[in-house]
Amino acid sequence: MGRYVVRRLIEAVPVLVLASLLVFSLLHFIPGDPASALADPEATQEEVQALRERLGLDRPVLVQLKNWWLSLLQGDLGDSFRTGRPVSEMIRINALPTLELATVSYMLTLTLGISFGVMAGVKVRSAWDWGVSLSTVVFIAIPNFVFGVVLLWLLAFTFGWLPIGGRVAIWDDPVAGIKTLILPALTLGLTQAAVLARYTRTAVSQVTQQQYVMTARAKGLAERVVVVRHVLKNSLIPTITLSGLQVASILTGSVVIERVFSRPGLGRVVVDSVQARDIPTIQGTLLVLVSVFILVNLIADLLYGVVDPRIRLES
Amino acid sequence: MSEAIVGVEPSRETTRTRRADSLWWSTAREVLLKNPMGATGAIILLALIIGGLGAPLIAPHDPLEQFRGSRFETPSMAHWAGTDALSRDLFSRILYGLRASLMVSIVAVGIGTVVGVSLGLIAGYAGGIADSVIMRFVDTMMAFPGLILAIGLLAVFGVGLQSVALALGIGAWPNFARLARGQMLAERPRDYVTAARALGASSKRIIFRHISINAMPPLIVQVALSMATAVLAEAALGFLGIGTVAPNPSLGSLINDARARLDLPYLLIFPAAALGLFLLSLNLLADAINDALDPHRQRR
Repeated sequence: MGRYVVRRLIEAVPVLVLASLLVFSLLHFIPGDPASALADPEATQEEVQALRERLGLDRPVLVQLKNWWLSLLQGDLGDSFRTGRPVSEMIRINALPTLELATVSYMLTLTLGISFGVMAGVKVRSAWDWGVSLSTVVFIAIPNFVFGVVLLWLLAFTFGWLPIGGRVAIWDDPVAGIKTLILPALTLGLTQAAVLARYTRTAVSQVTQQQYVMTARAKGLAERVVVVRHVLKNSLIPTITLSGLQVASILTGSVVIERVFSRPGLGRVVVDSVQARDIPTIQGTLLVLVSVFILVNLIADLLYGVVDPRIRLES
Repeated sequence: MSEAIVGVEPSRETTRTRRADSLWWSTAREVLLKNPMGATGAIILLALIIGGLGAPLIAPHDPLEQFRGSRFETPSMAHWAGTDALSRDLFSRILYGLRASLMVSIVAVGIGTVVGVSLGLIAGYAGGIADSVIMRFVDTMMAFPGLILAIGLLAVFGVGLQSVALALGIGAWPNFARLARGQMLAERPRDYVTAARALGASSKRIIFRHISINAMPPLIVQVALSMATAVLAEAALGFLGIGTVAPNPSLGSLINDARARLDLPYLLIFPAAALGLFLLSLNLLADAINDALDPHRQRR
């Protein structure tokens, strides 16, 4: 297992380096001269030149790249054009509400997705099964932000059970904090749970048809033991793959869902930065998010090794 | 001897063409006639395409025209889907939003398919360093989630429909490259490739005339799925207010408008229904094509 972990860790490094290279080059993708494109349209020649120097664009590209990597290693993501504050500080402040939403949504996704998926997969063509299939179709046609607005309309506007939006920090006022979290978390969690349930259902139903499951049943094991010990473990691989990918979907989804419920967070930072063409902030946020995804994929890979010894022994 | 081969040339060409044609026809027949879900998807999609691309002819009003004194009018004969905050005809705005969505997704998937398939086929055929370089790049691109990458690229290109199409195209190509490479690796050892090479066909000809035709089926499914992804992403960007430029409608921006007036559900229902039907039809079609092309399911 140790060698497997080390190999996977080493494999993740080049992807991370390439990703940072790609994020670095974003600034150079700007059509024409980046400095004059980003400067105020009425800026003087001197101001454009000053901006060029501030961005380091007056130096050779390789020097720029070296400096960018050096400051990354020191945790310095540059300063925002829009607010003038360090990007790392803006990310740190705004990451918390996003992480809060993403974590709760992800827990909902895993619990609902896997449990409904297993129930549907064990008894194909049962009521559970139809329910799972139907909800997946519904959530394919309804994007998460539309579902969010529908929930907002139904539970907050019509029934008035929950607040329309905003965020209260949980440690300031636990009850209000949870109330503002319920709708966004339900929106994200349910849409992703439907996808995971569908996947888990297919994996479980395929494993259930295998002969060793019949053997397990034939030797008189309780259904619960058959499902938990024999079926579940072997059907977990596709489920783990998908749940790894879903971390990305949920973080991306938070960016959009935050807008639905007017929540602060990374979503707002990113959207404001696009409108202001605040490239350093975009680069910083992009880099942080991509590093998270690479890390999550790594964890998913390591989990394969835990669940299925064949995978870790192969290496 | 060489004359004889030249003489054979046209007939071999026709055989290949006919085989490719029959694949298209049998797939279309399978999808449209034998699969009710596929047929439903195709009909809905066709209606939406006519509505979207024909918007300038079909829309009852200009999407930007303001009707004095008819702010937030509920649906009526004059305004089929009602009017919005600036007294504009919502039905016309939905049609134009659909049009924007269609154009963006077609261009984005077009870019993704051409770039991705070419690079994927080349990587798979060439192997070695070219393969490693291209696939490392693909892996890196795939580490970026689509919407986040698109948002980053929008900051670079500036907001607007062309930027959205380009950004989504850049996000779409790695999937096609990976798929095309896999297909290439599966097809390259086949006898017909060896035969073509023995007849002196160039690598370019083998890749783009022989293998690409046979590698097509999964790519067609990917086109339909990528369309759905692009439509969804375009709507999400519009919803975030960084898709289209202000007065021009997009399905996403219309849904964002609805959020401000929850007391008027029609503002949400019509644009959401258009977007939902669009996504549903593309997914139904992708499923049906997938079933039709799956050799294990083919009924003879």
